[in-house]
Amino acid sequence: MTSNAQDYPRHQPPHLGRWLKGAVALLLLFALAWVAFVALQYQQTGKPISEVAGIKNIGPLAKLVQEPPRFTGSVWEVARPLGVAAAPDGSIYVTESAGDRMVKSFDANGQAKASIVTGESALSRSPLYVAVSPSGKVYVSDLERHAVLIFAPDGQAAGQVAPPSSEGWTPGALAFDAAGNLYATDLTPGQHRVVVIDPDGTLLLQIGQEGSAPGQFEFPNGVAVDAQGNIYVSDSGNGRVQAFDKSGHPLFMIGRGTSKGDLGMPRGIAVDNGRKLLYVVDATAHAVNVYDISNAAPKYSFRLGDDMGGESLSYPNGVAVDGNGRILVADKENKRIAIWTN
Amino acid sequence: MKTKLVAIGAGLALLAIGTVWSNGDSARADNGPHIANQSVTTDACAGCHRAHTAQAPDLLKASETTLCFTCHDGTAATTMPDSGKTTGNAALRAGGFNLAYINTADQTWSRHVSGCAAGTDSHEYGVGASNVPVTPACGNNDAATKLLLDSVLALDATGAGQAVTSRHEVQTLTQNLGGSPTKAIYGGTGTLALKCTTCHDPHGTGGYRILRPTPLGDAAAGTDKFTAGVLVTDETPKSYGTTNYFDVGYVPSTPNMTTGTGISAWCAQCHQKYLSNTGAWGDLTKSGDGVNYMHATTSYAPSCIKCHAAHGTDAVISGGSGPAGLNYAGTLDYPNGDAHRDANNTRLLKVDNRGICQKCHKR
Repeated sequence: MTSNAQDYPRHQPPHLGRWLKGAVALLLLFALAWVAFVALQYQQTGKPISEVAGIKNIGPLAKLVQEPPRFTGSVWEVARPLGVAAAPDGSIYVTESAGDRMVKSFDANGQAKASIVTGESALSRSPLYVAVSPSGKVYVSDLERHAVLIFAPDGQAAGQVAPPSSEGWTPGALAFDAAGNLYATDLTPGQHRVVVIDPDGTLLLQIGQEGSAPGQFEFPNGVAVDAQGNIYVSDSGNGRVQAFDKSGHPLFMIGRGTSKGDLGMPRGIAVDNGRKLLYVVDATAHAVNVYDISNAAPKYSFRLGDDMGGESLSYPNGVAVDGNGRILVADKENKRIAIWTN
Repeated sequence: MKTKLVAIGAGLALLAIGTVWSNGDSARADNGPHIANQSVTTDACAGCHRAHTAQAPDLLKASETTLCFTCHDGTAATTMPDSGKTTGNAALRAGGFNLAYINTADQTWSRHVSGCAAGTDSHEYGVGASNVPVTPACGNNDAATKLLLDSVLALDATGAGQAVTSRHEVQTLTQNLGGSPTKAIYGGTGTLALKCTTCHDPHGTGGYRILRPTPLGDAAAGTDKFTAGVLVTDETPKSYGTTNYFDVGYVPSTPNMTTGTGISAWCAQCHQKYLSNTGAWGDLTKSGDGVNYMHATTSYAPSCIKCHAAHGTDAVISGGSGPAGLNYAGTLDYPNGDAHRDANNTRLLKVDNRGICQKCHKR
């Protein structure tokens, strides 16, 4: 018995095949028209379709790409800044690692205000990082003092945070949640970790220890917390960012590498809760990586400071997002705070 | 059933072995990123280098010394060579480039005990504020005794540091290497712009303080003619306690300067004039003196870093501390009539004036 195609009638009715061909042809036509439209827009504006005014917010296709903020200027007169923070009123606080080693403060327009000093002389103080509590108090970690010092907005000393352990600590990065809980990294040799301390000074949570395994840290230089209480830690020595839920359980990691979105030496970290974006300073890439964290898995979106123009960075270290969505970057070797605006 | 049990057992054993191996692979214990022989699949390169977007030599984004201090400012390393201390407030024995915490006015003694047979001598030292001398028995060169000179020089660094008075200039100035007119690599006139990586290998060497066996010269300036190389061996695992600090310069019964072992031989790669203690070369100092007799750096004799702080010292040359006309302020002219130079230069010494001599000789 031999096979004969003609012995087997087609299962598909002839009229359905014509309908399918028509649908495919229509789709191809639509795709061709869309490509031609995008190309035309790019030719006329020089911008990708997502950045063309009037188009970027029209539908789900445009929302797939986050529009990068624009570089809008710098605040100068800061000596090799390490940390930066924004207050609810828009004031900017900057820690200096050279010169007089003060915490410089500026109003929202970049006009200098009274500086904060964390020790009697430049030799006896070394401010590392700064954060502003929901009540407006300024918290500064100091490497020389091995303490987190508290100041009123006008620079008046208002005490210090009790160390989370009796042996003392070496506080580094600082952040606050909306409830006023302080998130701090501890750089004490052999005890690198993250601690969460409530406004009464009670230790609420401790995450990690020194090491390279997941959940461990080597010189965590950045900490941030989002509106859901998720905690993001810049694990500098291990070249990665680790994320945890509010109970300290691991969520995800962003690792070291040379592909887009990979990290080299992550330092400062900040969350834009409104746009659900995570900003991570990569000091040796001289850039700030930005990730979409609206879903469970982070997605690399774009990068700041990665060109050779006026917005290029040199060993940036700290980053903050203010209430107006401005991104403030402590651009250490350029001795400035670089500002991007959404 | 038996097969399943064997398989489960083997699996658990492999898991245990894997856990032990993993815990032993601690980056920090072996000096963070500065590890020799990284694995072929490491991602550590991306911490500092960029393959296609570098803007500085060696595929870096910017100046390498700036890169070093990006971590060694206390934010990602425990040692802070600019501040002269660790993040744990321990003073660095090498001092610092800006500040140092060396107790340069220390009043305790440390010297050889006379009368011991070769290889069995010991060190006398003082104890307490009144420096009550303690004389160990011959051969009592235990770690605590041997290291006294160093341990008393390191201050608790909780207070403010002192500005350094002399240092190895890094990045800002060229360093005159003071080469030997007859034997120097540089003909006695060479200068070298020092960088951190001139002396240290950021990729690790397995040796003491990741010192390069061969200092990094500058081909354009003709200062790249080091040939021999000295790997200063270190303890395993590295601890950087007082013991290994002593041991890198303490090579019993072996003339380490000439055989190329130990820290003194390493220093002499640049500071070649010191090699003149063989007595055969007849090199002259700036004063015109022959350099046939210099401090030995062999056996129990002090190594270079016993008396000198490699990075910088806060010692002072105040002058006037000796008999009239014999102070050590560096203002005396040379015997051949040449004018003095570098007045009050502390020459990286760890004790004020010439107290470093007294530390051992107690005259």
